[in-house]
Amino acid sequence: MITIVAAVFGVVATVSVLAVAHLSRSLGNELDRTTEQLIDEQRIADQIVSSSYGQQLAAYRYLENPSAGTLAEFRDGGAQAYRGIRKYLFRSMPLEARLRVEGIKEAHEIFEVAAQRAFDLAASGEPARARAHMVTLSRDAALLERAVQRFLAVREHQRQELRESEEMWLTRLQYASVALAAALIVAAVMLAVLLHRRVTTPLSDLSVAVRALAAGRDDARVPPQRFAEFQLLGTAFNEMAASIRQARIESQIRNADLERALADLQRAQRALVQHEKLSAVGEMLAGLAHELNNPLAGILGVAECLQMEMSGYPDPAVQELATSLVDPLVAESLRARDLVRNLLNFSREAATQLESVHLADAMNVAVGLRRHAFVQSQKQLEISVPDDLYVSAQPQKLELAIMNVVNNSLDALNTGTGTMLRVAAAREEEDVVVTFEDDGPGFVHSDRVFDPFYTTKPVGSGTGLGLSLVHKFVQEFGGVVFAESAPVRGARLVMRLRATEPSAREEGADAARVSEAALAG
Amino acid sequence: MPKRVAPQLLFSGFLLLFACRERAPLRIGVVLDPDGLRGAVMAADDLNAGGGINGRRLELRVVNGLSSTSAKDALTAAESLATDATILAVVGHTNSNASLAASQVYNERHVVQIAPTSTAPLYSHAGPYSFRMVPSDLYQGEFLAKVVAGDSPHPRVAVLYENDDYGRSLRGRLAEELAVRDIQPVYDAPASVVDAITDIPDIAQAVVRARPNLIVWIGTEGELRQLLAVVQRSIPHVRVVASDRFSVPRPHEPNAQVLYGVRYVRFRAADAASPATRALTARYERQFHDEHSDQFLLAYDAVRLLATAITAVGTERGDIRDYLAGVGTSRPAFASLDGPLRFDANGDPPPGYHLAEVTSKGSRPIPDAWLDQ
Repeated sequence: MITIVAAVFGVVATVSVLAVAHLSRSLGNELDRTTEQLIDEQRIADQIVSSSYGQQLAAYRYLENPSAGTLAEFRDGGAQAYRGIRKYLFRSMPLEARLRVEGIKEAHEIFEVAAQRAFDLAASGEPARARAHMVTLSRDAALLERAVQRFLAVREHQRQELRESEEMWLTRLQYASVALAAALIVAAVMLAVLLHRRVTTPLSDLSVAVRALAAGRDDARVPPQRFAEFQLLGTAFNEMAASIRQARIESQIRNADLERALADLQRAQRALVQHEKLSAVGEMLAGLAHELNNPLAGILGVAECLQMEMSGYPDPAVQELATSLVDPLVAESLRARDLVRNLLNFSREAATQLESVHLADAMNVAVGLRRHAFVQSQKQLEISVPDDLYVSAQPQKLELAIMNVVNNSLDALNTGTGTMLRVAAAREEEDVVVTFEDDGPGFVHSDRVFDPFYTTKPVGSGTGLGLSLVHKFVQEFGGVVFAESAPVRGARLVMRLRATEPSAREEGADAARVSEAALAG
Repeated sequence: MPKRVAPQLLFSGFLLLFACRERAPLRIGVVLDPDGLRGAVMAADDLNAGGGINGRRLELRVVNGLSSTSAKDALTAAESLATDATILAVVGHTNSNASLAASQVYNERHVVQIAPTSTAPLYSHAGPYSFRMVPSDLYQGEFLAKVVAGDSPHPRVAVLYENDDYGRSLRGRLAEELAVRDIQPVYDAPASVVDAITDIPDIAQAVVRARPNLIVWIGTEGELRQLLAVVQRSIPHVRVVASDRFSVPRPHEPNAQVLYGVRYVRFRAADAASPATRALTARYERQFHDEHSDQFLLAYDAVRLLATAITAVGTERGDIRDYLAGVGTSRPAFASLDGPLRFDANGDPPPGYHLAEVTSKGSRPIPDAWLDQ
């Protein structure tokens, strides 16, 4: 902007200088023209004077010796002088000069008439009077010459005045040029300052804000402006930035919602996959369990009968035989029976009758069964379940699911790393979120922990169905469960169950619990 | 002053100023001899009696009455009129000397000049703003030569002239035309200068010595009267032909009778005057108890011509000039007292001369057929 202003003023200054130069040249040209004109007028004047002197000479000669030729010479001289005088007529000159020209003309006319009178006197035989008249003629010729000189003097004076006027104008032009240049400079500076304040600075503020906004800073704002034009612009920009910020926030919220929805979808997808896996496995296991159940029942029955029979023989050898062979047979048969049952449980379709279950109670039941194991293992178990949470579930299955998770965590802690399992529950809108978090080794493959028969334990230390059952039961409850390794160490398993209101029975149980707590307190 | 009132007052003031300006009289400069001035005044009076020019009065600014023949005085008068912004045009000056000198001032300042009676050939080149009501002396020289040639089979002609622009140029043309007719003047000399004649006995003696039977006088009647009074003592029957500058003497003037019989050039055929001319000249005689001259009629027409131009194109000097330049070509011919008037490219009307004779009863027109004899 300042560059443009400087350029504009530079152009104006250049034009001014050129105009001054042009004016100077014009004045100079006019002076030159006047000088040339004066020189030409001098030449004409010389012609007039020489012609008149020629006439005077011819007059003298005519008086001495009248002849037509001499008279013609006189008249020709007169015509020449008259032509010269008339050349002045159509030239441009001031009034004073024109008056001098008419004076020359009159002087010449008088001169010629005087000469004619002398001729007449000479022709009438009066030479003395004729010669006396020549004195008048000489005087008239001198007057003519003086008139010519006065004219030239007037013209020279006018030329001198013109030159002085030109010099004065040139000086004034120079002063005016300097003053104009100074004024232009001052005006340029003032305009630049004004532009800087009124245009450049506001535009700079706007530019900074625009760049900041473009860089992602949606809190960039144009500071308050002094002038109306930029106030509107600044206000519009700030409104736009606020809109962008709002839009960004809403976009972030939507992104978060989308990410949550995506995570939920992914979990649902995994759950669906898991469910499909489990369904497929379940179907297989159901068939296998049914096939195994009968022979197992037979084997167990016979083993128990044999055990009972052998317990009646006091023979130590028989007893030893029973202990070493029959007891393990019965135990293993029982174990196999339990395994088949688990398989059957796993494979059975959910025909669960859901009810409103007090979460704290279920937790206490499940954890209570394993609390001693934690103590024995010198592991800590922290339970933080509010007393007012109810979930839609089947009580026994819920307890079994909780117990399986706790068992799994204890097993992980018992591998040597980690000392604590925290269980917490909280209401989140329509759900109750139960979080199981330990500082153990964490899940090796957190996406497979709910797969049937998946286990990282040594062979014979587990069936690999515990967490699969958890997943199955939670699904039956209408909830979701997912597992992940904690960011630093440990494992985290989250159950999201549907929250419910306590049933009438539970409300009575609540009231009892409150009374017990009051009595205990 | 309340803000609402100020603009209204200002507007009213402008309206008033404009209205006053519109009703202000139109002004024309006049630099003429007494008879010419009478013609200009009468024309202005007639125009104003008829409602003026476009509803505005015509006003004459008169400068330099009797001394209007001097070139120096003419320059001063022209400067005064040309610098007067209210002057639309000038009717003047009286003679070629003055008109030529003034013409340069008028042309420099772009003021129209109409010279009613200036005939010098040089005036044709005075400039685009100079016009005249009479033809150039290029044609009068020929006319006078015809008169000389027709005067007698062997004319002994003496040519006497005013030694100014008018006299020198007309005398030069006359000499050329006489030479064509193989007529050599017996005497040819300047007789007066700056409207003044001196050494009359010496001039008369020189003229008498030449024994002319015809004198061609190129000058005013006053100088001729002084000279003839002396010449006629020696050659009482000498005939005299005067140029257009001659005017009929008043009967009461001394030695007026010496001019009886003098023939002089006129621009108008007095015996073929139009009814308008006759009415006008009758008014002149009733009002001034005198015989009119061509200067009166020509000045009258000059003012009317300007009025016609102003009526047609308005008051801009340039527009008036353009109108006059087109009179008879792009503009209608002017209906002068003597018939349609047209200007050529130099602002000159076409030639047309007549002769009249001075008698004891005034001027007697000489039929044009005389020229053919």
